Amino acid sequence: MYLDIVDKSEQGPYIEERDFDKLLICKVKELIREYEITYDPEEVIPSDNTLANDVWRAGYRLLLEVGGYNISTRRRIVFDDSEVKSALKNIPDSIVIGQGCDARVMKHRRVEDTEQPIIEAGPTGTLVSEDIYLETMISFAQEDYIDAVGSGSLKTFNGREVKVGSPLELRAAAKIISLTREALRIVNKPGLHINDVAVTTPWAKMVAISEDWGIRRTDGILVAQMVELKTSYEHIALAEFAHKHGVIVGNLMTPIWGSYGGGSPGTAIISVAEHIFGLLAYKSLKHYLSLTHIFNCNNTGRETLWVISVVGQAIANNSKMITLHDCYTATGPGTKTILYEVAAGAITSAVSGLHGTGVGSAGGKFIDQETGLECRLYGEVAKHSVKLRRSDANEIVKKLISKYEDLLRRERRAIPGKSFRELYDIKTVKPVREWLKLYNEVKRELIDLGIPLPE
Amino acid sequence: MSEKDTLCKKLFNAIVDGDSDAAREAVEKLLNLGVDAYSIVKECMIPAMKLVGDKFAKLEIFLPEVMMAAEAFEKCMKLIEPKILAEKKSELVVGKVVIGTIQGDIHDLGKNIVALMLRAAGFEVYDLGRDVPVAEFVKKAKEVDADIIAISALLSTSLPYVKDVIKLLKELNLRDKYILMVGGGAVTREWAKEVGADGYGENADEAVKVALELIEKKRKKK
Repeated sequence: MYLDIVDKSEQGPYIEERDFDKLLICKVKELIREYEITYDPEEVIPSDNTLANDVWRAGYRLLLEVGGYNISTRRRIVFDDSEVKSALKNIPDSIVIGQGCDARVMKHRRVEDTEQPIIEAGPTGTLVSEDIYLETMISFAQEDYIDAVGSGSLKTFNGREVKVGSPLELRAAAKIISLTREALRIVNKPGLHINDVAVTTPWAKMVAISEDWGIRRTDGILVAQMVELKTSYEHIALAEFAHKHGVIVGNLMTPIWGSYGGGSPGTAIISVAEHIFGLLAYKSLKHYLSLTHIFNCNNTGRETLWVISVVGQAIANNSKMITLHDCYTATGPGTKTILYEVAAGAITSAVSGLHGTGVGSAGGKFIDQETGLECRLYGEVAKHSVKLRRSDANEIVKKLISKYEDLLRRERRAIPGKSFRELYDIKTVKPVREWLKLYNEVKRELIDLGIPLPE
Repeated sequence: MSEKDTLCKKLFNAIVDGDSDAAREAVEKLLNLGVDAYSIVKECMIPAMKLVGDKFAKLEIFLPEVMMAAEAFEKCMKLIEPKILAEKKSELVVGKVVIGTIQGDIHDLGKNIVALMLRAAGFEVYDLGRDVPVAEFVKKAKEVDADIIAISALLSTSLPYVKDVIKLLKELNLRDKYILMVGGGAVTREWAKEVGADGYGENADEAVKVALELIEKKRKKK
């Protein structure tokens, strides 16, 4: 498939990027009309399988009729139906991540699957200060509900600011992976899967792939798509490099609600197409749905959770792909609001056929504003929500959304919380009393709302 | 309502609806009626784009509708521009902006929206695209005698390059010559203040408002 993608990138129809965007917009609008896909704010987690299946068909058609775009060659990458069908058929429905006692089997999930989702946690690319990087990673790795970790970006290397594309990014990549591995050793989970090294430049990621000291065969690398349905030769090369080393490639999709897809129906259609495109262009075995709202930088609002749920269900019902909800909140740690957001995201993904990852607290926008505790809540809520039906989950999620919806509408931005330094005792790497108190209060509220969490 | 008012309303609605053909038709009729080109832009077209911006800020419409409205606006401008008197043309230009996504960063959606809304607000916009090297911002600003340099950054590790632009401007003794605005996913209001930017936009709506305020201030200073 690698050579096919290169050939397609060279031989596909030439089109300026802006015209590709317009083509995409027109086709999405047409497909929304044709499949009569509508968003119902009362059905955040729709129980209607027809809706999810229509979104799948529309996304599939979008991929066939528009394809992806290679910004390096300015050409569309187009596929025929048999290629897509064959790719979808020839993927495993489960993979092993991590190694030794810490290995996990990650399976394709079904809608209302009673098997617990895999939870991958970490600062998800948020900037972390060099002096507390290890402690920050420990705060995630030590949590019981976590099955894998993802690293944060390093703000400095030996005091020098890390710039994307500078040679320092190589050193940063090596340090990130070393400190992440060290955190896993400290918490006695040395074989836990690491899903990525949080640097941007593809060649810096390549450097971090090393069986001796870096990303191993049982770990992963995320390869991004650009908004929307776009890739580049650098990204295709990174995916190929990772495959050459046996590393699991994750397809990182970052669709933006409110942009080219418009509202929820269009964004859902694009998200389905991006799953299939990631499978074809990167041969990804894991797919990260990192949807964000155009203003609030989160995916825990009513209209974005609808997208997460419908896309999760579409993938679950119509393919064997393994997909994760990359949870981004609008508010920051140290507040009750982030915990409500996290819980709403966790319930939605768990009953809609997704695994979970995150948390990108406050849109991942503020340095050191991420802690293991919000991920603990994501993990335990997601794992215990498998006992819920979609209709019950929908009612609970709506109650949770009502606690923060007005705030998001009013603020129209990511809202900072407190930093890791304020919320954790750095020496013991335990949450401070106030943060734990908020967590316990919210957990009690969640139990009262009907989430079957252990007391 | 006079014929001119009716046609102006038609043009306004056509731009808001992103209907390029209807918008052009209304412009042609207004010109045939002998309506001054400058007033067509000022009274019918700019208010339409202002409404589009307001609707987008409230998420009553989404990016595709904004893009279609902007396209209708641009097509009308192409038709109308040659007919605007030179001295009036400069009155229509609020200021000149050099905009781009900073070095190392290929995320340009936010920047594109801001560029689009700045254009609609009457700015002459020079869009350098994405992954723009630090020196390019300065070079282009000098070349076009810009009022504003606007830099977007989504990646947190691309932020140091924004500081490099400021550093370079200072080294060349040009810092006071240009208004420097920053925005994008990785930028916060606090960071903008910390690095000494003149303006910050949380979103396109705010970016345009701040740009207009800063231009006004600059003009008054002169």
